[in-house]
Amino acid sequence: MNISKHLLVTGLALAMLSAPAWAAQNSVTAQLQPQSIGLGDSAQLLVTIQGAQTSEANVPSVDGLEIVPVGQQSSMQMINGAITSSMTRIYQVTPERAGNFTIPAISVPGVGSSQPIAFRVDNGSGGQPQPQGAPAQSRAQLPPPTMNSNSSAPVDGKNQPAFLRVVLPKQNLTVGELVPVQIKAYFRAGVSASLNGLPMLSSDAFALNKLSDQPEQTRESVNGVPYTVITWTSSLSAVKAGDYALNLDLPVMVRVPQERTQRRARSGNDPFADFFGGNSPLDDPFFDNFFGQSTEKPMTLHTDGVIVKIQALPTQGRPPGFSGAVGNFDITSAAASTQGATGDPLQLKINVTGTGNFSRVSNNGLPASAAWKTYDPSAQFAPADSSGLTGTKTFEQSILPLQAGAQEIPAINFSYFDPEKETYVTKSTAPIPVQIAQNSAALAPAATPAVATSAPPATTKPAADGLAPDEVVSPGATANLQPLVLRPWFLIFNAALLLALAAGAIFRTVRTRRAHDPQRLEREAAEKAVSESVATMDAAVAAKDAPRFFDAARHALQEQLAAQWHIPASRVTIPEIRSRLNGHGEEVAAVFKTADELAYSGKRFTAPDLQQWRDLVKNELQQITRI
Amino acid sequence: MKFLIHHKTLLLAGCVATLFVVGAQPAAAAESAPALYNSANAAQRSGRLGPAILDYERAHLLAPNDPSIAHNLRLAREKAGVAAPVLPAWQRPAQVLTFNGLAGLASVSLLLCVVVFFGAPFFATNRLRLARGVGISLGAIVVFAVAALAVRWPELGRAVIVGAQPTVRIAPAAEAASVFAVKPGEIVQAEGAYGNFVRIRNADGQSGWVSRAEVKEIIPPAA
Repeated sequence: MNISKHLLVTGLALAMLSAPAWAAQNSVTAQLQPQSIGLGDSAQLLVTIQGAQTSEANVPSVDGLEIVPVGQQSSMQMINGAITSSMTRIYQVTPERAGNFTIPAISVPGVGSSQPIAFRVDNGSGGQPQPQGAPAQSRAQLPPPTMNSNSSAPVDGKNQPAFLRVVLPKQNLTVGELVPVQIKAYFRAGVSASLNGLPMLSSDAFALNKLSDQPEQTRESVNGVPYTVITWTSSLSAVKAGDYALNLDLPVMVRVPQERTQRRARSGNDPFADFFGGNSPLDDPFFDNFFGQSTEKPMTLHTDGVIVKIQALPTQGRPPGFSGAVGNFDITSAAASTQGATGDPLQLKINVTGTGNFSRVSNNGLPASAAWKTYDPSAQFAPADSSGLTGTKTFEQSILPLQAGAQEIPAINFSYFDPEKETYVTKSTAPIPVQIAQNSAALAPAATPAVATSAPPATTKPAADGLAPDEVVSPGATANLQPLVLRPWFLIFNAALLLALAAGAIFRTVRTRRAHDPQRLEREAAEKAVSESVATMDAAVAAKDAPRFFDAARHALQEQLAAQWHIPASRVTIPEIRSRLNGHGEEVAAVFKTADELAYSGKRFTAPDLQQWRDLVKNELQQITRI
Repeated sequence: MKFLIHHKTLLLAGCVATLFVVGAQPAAAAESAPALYNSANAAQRSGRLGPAILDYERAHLLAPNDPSIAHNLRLAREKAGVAAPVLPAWQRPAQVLTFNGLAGLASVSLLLCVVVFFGAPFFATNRLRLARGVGISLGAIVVFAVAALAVRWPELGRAVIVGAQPTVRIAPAAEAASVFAVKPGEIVQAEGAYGNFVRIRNADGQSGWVSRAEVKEIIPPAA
């Protein structure tokens, strides 16, 4: 009896310990996410094995489908003592052609089989998972991306964890041409990554418009390897002519999990291995991250530099009014009103609609003429898509009619370069007929608020909108907005005045200094004295007055020598002359000596003698100045 | 100097001739205050406050004493939610005359200075001190006018935001990030240009780049 009780208790205990094997009903389920995919997309096949941890799933091959295992997940639950476990094997399913497919039942030995899965693959992209909350975007239609030799996709079979690719509709552009562009970041399935920024252009030959706010997330297969793809859409314009590489960079942080089986092989000791029959649920990669067994690697993804040939805008055939617009456009115009009065502004709207680079679309509007006074238009762009490639640019311009009667707002031309046709195109708006009444100042204030008299505005009631009324425009009464200080004639005139003032001040200063120069004054006094003495000499020669002549001659020589030697004239004596002139002053000394002798001797000189003496003295005076 | 004195008539005639001949050049970008004012009214009535304020500012340049222009400009600013430029107290003496008034005052005073300077030798001796005093006074007027012009020189770079949805960017590129907001009709200082962008500075001293289409200088560049 006691042995039976022990056996019963032992059996119950064993049953409880082995409850996981009995707690849940074993089953196999298969699920395809999403159910509908397009050619070029991939889906996930989830095979969930309930109640077993170790069995392999036999996934049959299907013609036209590539089924690749990418991972597995395990879970265990204990509810009210009941333990349930499940394992989910994940497969990447990539169709090779469009059509209807059926994945047969997947069998798991010892567990069971799943139900077959039938699904359809469409030609276009469909059923792609969109990020939650992503707004519906209308994108410019792009041709399928082409894999060229410059593609950044790994063509050598080495499956990179991540890479960056740029997709352009064409690689021959014209300066100013705007094209849609896709920037695609590829992350291999199983690789966890985070973006550290937005794709950035690293080439100055291009300009990239604002990227889409919500990048699209899809799945693609490259060389049989599934990738998660994040796609930004934008538009790209070519800035300068030449062959340039289109380089973009994207900073990312990639987390690459490490295999725990490698670690377990190194450690060789897993306490759960024996309990679960050799395959511990902790071998599941799910637990790698749980236990922090992954490697973070900062990376900057680069495109491989697709070479884009940019052609310059041709000069031949360029219309005179071409302002740089590149694309395909239409132009229309409309006036806010077809009736007005002279001097009252009309609002003219010019709409340029189409596809192209709207930042290069400009229009000066209606040019001024004898019939119209115009002002610079203001521009506003309304895009029709998120990339800004299509839309309408509106130019609003105020124009004033100057002539009354049946007038016409002339056609307005707009020229652009069509990169597809590689030619310049000029389009024109249709003329707009308008009826203009004469706006007369002699009339009493009319009912329309646009007509006003020239009475002081302070006495005129403002209009209902609170604005003071319009004023009468007198023809011919114009002024220049340019200030005087920026007009060349004003600057030249004042510069000339300043120069004249400066020159006059300089001249006056120099003259004043010269007038008060002591040396100059001394020299001038000496010259004056010498010239007076020479005049006296000449008079004495004429009068045959020898004493007077020699006295004047001596005085002239004294003054000249005194000015030269900067000494008083009274100090110029015969010894001084002989000492300073070193024997070259004998003639001068003879004049002095003769003058002294004549004072006492009464010697007589004939007129020829006096003339000779005069010539001698004048010659000496000239020689003295050269000392 | 003797040559200049003896040929003073020729010198004076040459200056006057230059004034008339050079000044007879056709005026560039001729406008009229009433036409600008009417255009601004039309823009304000149609809700385009940026272009309205621009034309009001230009009309005010040509007719600074017109109360209608000042009234409607004030209304436009109120609607746009922008304030009129605030002038520091030390700059108010420079506002005694218009910009052209100061330039004309300086030029006329300079001309009179030259006349007094070159005519001084011909003045009677008992009038020389008076002439000197007049010359000094004229020189002081020139200095004041030039100083006032220097203080008001930044007004030449004033511009108005005319775009309806202006975006001030950190760099002169369409894809550059925006840095701060400006309103249509706001007065800014245009400091330079690069390509299709103009660098502006607002009253708070912040600077950035806006598209040429979104900002217009009150004094348009000479053609």
